[in-house]
Amino acid sequence: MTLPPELRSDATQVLRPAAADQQPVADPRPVTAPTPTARQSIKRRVRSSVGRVARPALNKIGPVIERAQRGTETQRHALDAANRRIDELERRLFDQAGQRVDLALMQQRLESNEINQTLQKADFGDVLRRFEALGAAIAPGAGIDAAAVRLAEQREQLHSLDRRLRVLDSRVNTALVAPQGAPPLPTAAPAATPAVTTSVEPAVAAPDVEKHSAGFDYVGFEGRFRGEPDEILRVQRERYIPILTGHGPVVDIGCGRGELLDALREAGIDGIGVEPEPGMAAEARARGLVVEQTDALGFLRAQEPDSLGAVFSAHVLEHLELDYLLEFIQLSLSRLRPGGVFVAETPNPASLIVLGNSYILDPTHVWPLHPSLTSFLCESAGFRDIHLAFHAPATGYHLPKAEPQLGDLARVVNEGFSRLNDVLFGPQDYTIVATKAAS
Amino acid sequence: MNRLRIGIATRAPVGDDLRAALTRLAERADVRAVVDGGRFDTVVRTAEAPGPYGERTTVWVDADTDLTAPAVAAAVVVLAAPAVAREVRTRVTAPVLALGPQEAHTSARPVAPFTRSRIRRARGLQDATAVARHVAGQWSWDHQPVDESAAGSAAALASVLVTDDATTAVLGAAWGAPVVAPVELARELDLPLPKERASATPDEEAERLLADPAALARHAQGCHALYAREHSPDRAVLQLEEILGSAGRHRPRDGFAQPLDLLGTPTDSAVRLRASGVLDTLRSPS
Repeated sequence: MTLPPELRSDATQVLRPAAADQQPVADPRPVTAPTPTARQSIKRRVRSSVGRVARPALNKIGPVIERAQRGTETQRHALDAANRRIDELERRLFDQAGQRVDLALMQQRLESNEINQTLQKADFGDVLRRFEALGAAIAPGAGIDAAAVRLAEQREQLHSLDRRLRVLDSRVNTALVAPQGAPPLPTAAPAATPAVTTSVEPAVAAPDVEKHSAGFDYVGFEGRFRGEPDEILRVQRERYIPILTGHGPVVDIGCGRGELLDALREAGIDGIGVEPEPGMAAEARARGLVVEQTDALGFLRAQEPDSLGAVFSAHVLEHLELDYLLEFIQLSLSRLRPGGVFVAETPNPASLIVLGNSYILDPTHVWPLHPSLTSFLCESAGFRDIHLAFHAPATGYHLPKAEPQLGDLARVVNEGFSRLNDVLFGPQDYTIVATKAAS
Repeated sequence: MNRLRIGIATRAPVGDDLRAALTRLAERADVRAVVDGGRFDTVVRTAEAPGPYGERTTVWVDADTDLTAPAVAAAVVVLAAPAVAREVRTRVTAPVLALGPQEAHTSARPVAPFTRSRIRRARGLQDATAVARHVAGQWSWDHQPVDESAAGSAAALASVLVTDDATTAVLGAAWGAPVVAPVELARELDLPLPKERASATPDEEAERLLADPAALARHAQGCHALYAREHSPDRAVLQLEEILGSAGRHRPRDGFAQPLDLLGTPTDSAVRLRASGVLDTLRSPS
């Protein structure tokens, strides 16, 4: 502990009065030594004698005393230095106190943040588990990722039910006001059983009602496996509008909600839809389209011969029993005017990926129609100028080609792989375009 | 000498007053975060929740703290800024320590009136009486203006310090000076206010004290006691040690060293030698 700096001489100097700083005035009187008295003389003589006696002893012990004084002085300096060092260390410790406090507070905050983070992780995990449970409730077996799709399917089912209820309601009201003795009103058209594959395929009629199970939710099945409606419509426009141009009126067998009819209308081509599913037929009619709620044969039988420009169907033929199919082709030929076209798109069973995957997926498919068979049936019915067009190869499954650097081996392997790709993963759909003779 | 081990377990955010108090503690004790682990003599917490069972908790309170909270009731010590400490001292059962922002006079030591006189004489200043004034922002020593830099010396050596400034009043109290301030300021700072002071001006009061050495000494003692109670971190930490029962463990074998340090006794002072001699005599078996 050292003297506080405020009490040191230099610090208190400023408090001294100004007069105290002035130099003392010199006494003008000269200073002379006083005359020694007898007493003083005796004292001087005694001191002199004592000094002569003691001087030798003092001479001997003088150096010892000097050495002791020097040692003491050295120790004093060392002690002062140590004290100054301690003061300096204490001052540094003192000055760093704030930093130590900040460090401790930061450590405490980090600990709190870690705890909070752990709790938040637990909360988040709980939320995730609840999401998963919700997803499992909505989409069992698929989880939350498929929940949006499932909800969309359920929404579509509700809309479909709503449409059916409205139709039924309308019919009931009509029946209530029907006069007595009037023939019974026609029963409801068979429920739609559109065929669906994983390739481009719109909703179509399923004429053979007896084979269709009323308990099968075809609308939901279609919604899940059909594909994006916009993409389907885009492909149909690209493929078929050019073929159908100039062949109006076009009959779209199994038109669904009439997306292709819309496209035909935009292209200035007359179109008539045939859709047995009342809800979809009503929806199409609500958009101003001409749609008959009936099956294919019922519609064609009611048409005049040589009155139609084109008969179009997409993914319908594979749903038909053989007899129905034969009559459908024959009636189409009969009702088409000369030069009219029969256009039908159906899955290609020659590509085994279709046969073993998308074709068997739909329980309402009756028989896979090989392209050669369809050609034969159209030719047998009397169509001329029959063309086949193949679409949508399953390139995602194609076997990879070998590197050309392998030379002949690569060539042989690649040829083999190409054949396998054609057989296994070839075009998934084909379209037959059969033209009625001009005369 | 083992320093007090103090743990910090306060909730964020930490206000400036609390941080200042913790810094005062860190200047004089070993302060660490509780998450560091180890044994602590006490743990500083805020009043949201009491500490675990068995912990000796020091609870920080401010003007908004609910003093009926369980954490305050369970505290061994209550810590607060000086202004708040004065308010809560009578409202809680635990002892209240005041710790506040950085003091501006870390070297201040109490200087008794007699000692002031002796030092003034040794420094060539007036040894009879010397009145230091800090009024309206101007320092003067015996009616002579002096620079602001002489404030510490003036507070340390004046016979009486007259001021209207709160900081200067605390500075004077730190040096053990008899501080005379206007009545309102004296009440605000809790400076000693004798009954005779009811209507006297500060200058009249200073004259009265100078004429009565005993009253002057009592007044000086009261001012320094205020400083020790409200503003002295050293005293606060010592009090904390007493409360926690750690005083014996942290005190050196030489019991006089710390009190002499607090009084500012120089290392080579004869007083220390005499104190050590007395202690040895008292401890000798014969």
